[in-house]
Amino acid sequence: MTGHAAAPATAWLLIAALGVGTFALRLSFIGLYGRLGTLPPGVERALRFVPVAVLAALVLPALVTLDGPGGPAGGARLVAGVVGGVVAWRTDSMTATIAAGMATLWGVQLALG
Amino acid sequence: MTSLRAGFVEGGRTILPVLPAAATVALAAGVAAPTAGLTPLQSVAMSVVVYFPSVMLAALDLIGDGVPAAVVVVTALVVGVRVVVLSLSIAPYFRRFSAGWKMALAYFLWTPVYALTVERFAAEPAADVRGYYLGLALPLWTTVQAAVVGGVAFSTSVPSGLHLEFIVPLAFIALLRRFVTDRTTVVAAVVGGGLAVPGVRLPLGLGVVVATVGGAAAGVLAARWGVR
Repeated sequence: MTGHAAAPATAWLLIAALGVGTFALRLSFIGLYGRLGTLPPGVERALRFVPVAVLAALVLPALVTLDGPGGPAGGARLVAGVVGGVVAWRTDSMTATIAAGMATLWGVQLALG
Repeated sequence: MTSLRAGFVEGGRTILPVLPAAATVALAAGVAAPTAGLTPLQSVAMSVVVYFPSVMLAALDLIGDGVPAAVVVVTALVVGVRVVVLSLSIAPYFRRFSAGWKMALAYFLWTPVYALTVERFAAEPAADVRGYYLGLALPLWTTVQAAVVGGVAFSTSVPSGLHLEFIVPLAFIALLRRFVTDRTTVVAAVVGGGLAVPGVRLPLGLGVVVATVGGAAAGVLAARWGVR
């Protein structure tokens, strides 16, 4: 997954765009208080589900592909992801989740040679 | 002005227990940044400019996959779009301040700072929240930046065979747990994740965008059909 380094100019532009974008999201209603009104209830309801949908959409393709787990390396990722999920639900701790998931990944990879 | 200082001290004390959790997600973002191909300077600059570890993690995930910059920006901002709701909710507390103050306070807006400020001042909406808010925000900001720097230093000093990039999905799994609060959010997660797996075949990394819209729509429908 390494080696896709964007061209330096692209990377800086990307950082600037992300900075302007996140700042605009934060300032939105603070800056325009009294002029922007409120969010339509439908939009507010949908926004509640955006974080959970986007996080799941980023996680699952990292664990499985359409062709199955994708060989031994892919199998290790799937097992490590499941272990991380169990630990996350039991402990609600990001540190424990990352530690358990990485330990499982390295363990399975060692076991498979 | 003494009230500003008293508020600042009180905020600083209140934020302390939150710092380890914030440090962990920031550390993950710091480790992930060089893995995705950013230089150490770009990694730290991104953290200071964006100051939103989950947005940064999402962007890095997609940069590492070689997705076009415009799609990286749109998708990462979708991860952060919930901050609009925080902005809406905290705006009344900031209404009397100058535009400069509003911009400065907005830069630091993040879930823990928002939640603790609104909880503290819900009963006295006319109070000056700036001291308390910055008392929460500045230690949190300093912790996040220090953890990112630590993560970058660690990441650039270990061999790539350790697959540190896998920290990113693991961090997302831990974050996901906090957003899955009832069955409707389970539906949104299952549909979003399920659509994303075949979605990787879509061009330009648009699979994540399609999957997010589908997952959020499924959550709204589930709620409408009485799932709880």
